[in-house]
Amino acid sequence: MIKRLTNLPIRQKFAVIIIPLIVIILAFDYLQVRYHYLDYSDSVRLNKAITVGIEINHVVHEIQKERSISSGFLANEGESFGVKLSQQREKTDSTLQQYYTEISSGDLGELIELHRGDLDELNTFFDKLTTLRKSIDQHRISSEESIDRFSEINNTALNTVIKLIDETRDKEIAQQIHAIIYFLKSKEFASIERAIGTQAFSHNHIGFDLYNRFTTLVARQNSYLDAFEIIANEESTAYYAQMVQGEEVQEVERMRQVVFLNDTLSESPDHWYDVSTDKINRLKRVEDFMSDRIQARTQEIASQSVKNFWTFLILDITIGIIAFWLMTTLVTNLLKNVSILEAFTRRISAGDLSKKVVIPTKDELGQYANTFNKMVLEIRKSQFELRKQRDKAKFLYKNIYGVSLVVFENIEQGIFLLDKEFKISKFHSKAMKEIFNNDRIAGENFTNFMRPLILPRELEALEMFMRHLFNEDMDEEVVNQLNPIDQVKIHTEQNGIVATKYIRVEFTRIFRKNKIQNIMVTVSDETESILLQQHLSEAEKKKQQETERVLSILKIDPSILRGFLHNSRKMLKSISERYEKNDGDEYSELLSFTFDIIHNLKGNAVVIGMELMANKFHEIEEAITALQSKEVRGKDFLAILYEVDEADRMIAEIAEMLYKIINIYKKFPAEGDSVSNIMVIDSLERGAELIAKEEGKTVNVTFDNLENVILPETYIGPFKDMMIQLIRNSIVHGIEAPSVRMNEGKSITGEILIELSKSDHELFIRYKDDGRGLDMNRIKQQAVKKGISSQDELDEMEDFEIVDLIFNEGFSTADKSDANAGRGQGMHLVKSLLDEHRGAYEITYEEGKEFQMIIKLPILESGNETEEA
Amino acid sequence: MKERLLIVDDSSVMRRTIEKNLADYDLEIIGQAANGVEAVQMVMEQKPDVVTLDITMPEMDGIACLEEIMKINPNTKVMIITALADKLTGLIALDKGARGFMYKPVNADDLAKAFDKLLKRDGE
Repeated sequence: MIKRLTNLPIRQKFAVIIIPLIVIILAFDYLQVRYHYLDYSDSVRLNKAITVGIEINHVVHEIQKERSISSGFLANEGESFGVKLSQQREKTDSTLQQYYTEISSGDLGELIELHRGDLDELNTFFDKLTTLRKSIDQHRISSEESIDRFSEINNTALNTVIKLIDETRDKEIAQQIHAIIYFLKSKEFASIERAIGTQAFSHNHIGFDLYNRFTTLVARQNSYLDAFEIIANEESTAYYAQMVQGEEVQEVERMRQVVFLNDTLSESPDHWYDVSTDKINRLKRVEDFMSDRIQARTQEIASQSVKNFWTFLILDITIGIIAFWLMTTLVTNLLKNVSILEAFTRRISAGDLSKKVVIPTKDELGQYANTFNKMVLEIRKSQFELRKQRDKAKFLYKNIYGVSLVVFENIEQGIFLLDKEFKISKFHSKAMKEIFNNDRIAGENFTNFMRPLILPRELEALEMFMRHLFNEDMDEEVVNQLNPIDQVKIHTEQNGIVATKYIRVEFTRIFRKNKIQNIMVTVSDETESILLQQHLSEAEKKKQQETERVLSILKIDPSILRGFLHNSRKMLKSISERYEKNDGDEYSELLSFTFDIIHNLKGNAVVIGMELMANKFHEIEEAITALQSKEVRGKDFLAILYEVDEADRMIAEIAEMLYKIINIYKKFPAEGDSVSNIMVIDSLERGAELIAKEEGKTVNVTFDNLENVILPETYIGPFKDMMIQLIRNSIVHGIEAPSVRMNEGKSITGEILIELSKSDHELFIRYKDDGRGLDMNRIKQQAVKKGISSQDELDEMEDFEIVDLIFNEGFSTADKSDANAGRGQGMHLVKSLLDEHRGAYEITYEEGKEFQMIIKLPILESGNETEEA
Repeated sequence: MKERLLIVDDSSVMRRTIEKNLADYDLEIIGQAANGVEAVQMVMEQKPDVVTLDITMPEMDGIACLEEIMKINPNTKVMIITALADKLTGLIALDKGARGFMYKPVNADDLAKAFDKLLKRDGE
């Protein structure tokens, strides 16, 4: 119930409060007005009733007199009172007439209606007067009887008066009315007393019954007077005291005493009648006074009531109107304000903040309105701020976006972002399409995207790599070192044409709030630069070859080089000559011939330090070896010939260069010998380094030339040839692999010592290495295997003789052959050179520790011996 | 407290190079191992904080060795130092728990930088 009330709209809530209030006010007003109206109508009616009552009392007063006179008349049997009676009857009739006139006047309509019954009854009693008077005139009734009959009429009249006036709500008036009623009753008894007295005095005697009646009348009269004096107001009692006194009153008292005390009443009845009438008249005046007073009072009350009625009515109406006006005004205003606020809040909630709410009242609603306006202002302020920020952000976004788009449209690199699922971002630079020749890029999985482009192993690595890139625990730089597509070759297809591209793909972490959000990938097409690089490196290689050629020429003694070149051309030419002569299918023989020549040339090239040619000859050697294992055909041999031609061409180029260089030397001659010496040593060091590298070993060649021996030109070539063969032998056979050396407690680097010294007639060359020395058993095995010696021969040989076996042609302890050793040519060449120059040698060794060879060459007086040039 | 380092490489030259290059770096080198088996043994006994690990080694290669080390103590910080150019192997090493990676040859500066990162030092 309460909830239903509290849920009512404000309008209905007001109705619930105000309607009962209005009803209560109206009811109260009605009661007020009605009260005063009743007061008024009461007073008016009472006033009229009193007017009627007064008329009746006048009649009663006259009847009272008539009763007394009639009683006297009857008591002395018409002797006296005859005149008085007829006079009195006229008077009575005239008052009666007055009474009738009064009650028939229109003024009393309502009152007469109200008391119709009483008044009708009274009228019948008044009508009885005529019959009564007849009986009196004819003396048909006794005096007592007439008194009773008159009293009967008066009684009715008095009762009617009482009924008429005893109807008021005013307490004081009611009290005075009762006072007057008591007074009227007392007066009636006084009047009956007068009648009985008149009768008694007429008889000069009072009988017992009459006496009793008389005394009773006096007693009753007094008791009513007492009652009157108790309840009547001071004014009335004062008036009564003032009026009812004097001789006549005392005379009435005296004559009462006469009646009480004497049997014979000698006093004249007229006297009694006169004094008692005087007294009764006085009473009548008191009665009239009181009636007047009450009437005045009721009139006063009536006019007061009318005044009050109108005052209240006007007041009530005014108050009612004011209250209603106030209520409706306030409530309407309140409701209006509430509805304004309601509409306003509805507008705000709809997002319209453009207007203020205006409530002119200064009540809470007005304050709410102010607060609302403040709130709206605040909201507008923040909205303005927000809009400003938003506009700024929009501006920035547009600009940055615009710039990004321009960059993405024009940049040559492929740029895009990867998310954690390795998906390619929606936005990527335009270059992506061109690099990959692919339109489907955005949203693709990068692994799938790359799958057709790179090797499976690279793809596997790429996936793993991206996973690590997204791993926060992994250092970006560490991971980036392992980028598998840092540089990668891809094949793209466009219009059926497959293009090979070299791309560089770089990955950068993009952080947001310290978390890896994306990976930015940049792809650069480096095809052009890589091709250029390749081209450059080829050019560089070629240039290097040329430089090498020049350098190799410069480092080699020109005379030796000239000899080498001359010899080489001659030999190579012999190959083509032999080929031209060959008419049959003797290719294997031709091949073997060619091999021998090329091998020899290779050895020479190595000896003089011409790596370029050594390598070339080695290539040809390899090609021939490859052919030897199968049936050789002309076509195959042509390839060899082509290679031979190539070698020839190279030699021709070198010869030409040499020619140019010699021309330079001719212009700027230098000290030939020492230059040659330095060059030889340098080329030996280079040779050693080269051989060691190919063998996977490291060596250090030390030259000791404490005596500053300068090799004569004659010996430079042989010295160099011998040394290079010995060095090759040492590195291939003597010096162990680094691991072996380490195990044996040797330094990893093998040491080779070449020491020059001389005496007066001889030149000493000490060659020493710290390799494994000579393995006699292995030499023996090899000698048997190669068919150089039989086992029996070996058994009889001395150690030095066995050592000498290594100088045999075709002896080699190595199992495979390459440019350095293995074909049993090296030591044989040394031996040949020694023989050629009448040199001697001595070999010592310590197995597992060292090998040493001391060469002695005779010093010649003059340099007659010259190489072929 | 100084972190304790174990150097694992089959080449003594390489081990010496690493040791020499780390001479000025604030680390305590507690030992060297020439192969995976030795390395696992030493990790088990000495519980180093940091291990430099070669990949190509006889007996037990770097990846297998790394797996064993992680089994023994997953908190060991392993820096792969290799001459191997194969990136997939390197990535597999990261998968197995390596936290640093360097290519040979190494020099003092690069080593210091890599160790700063591995040990989360600011780098002096």
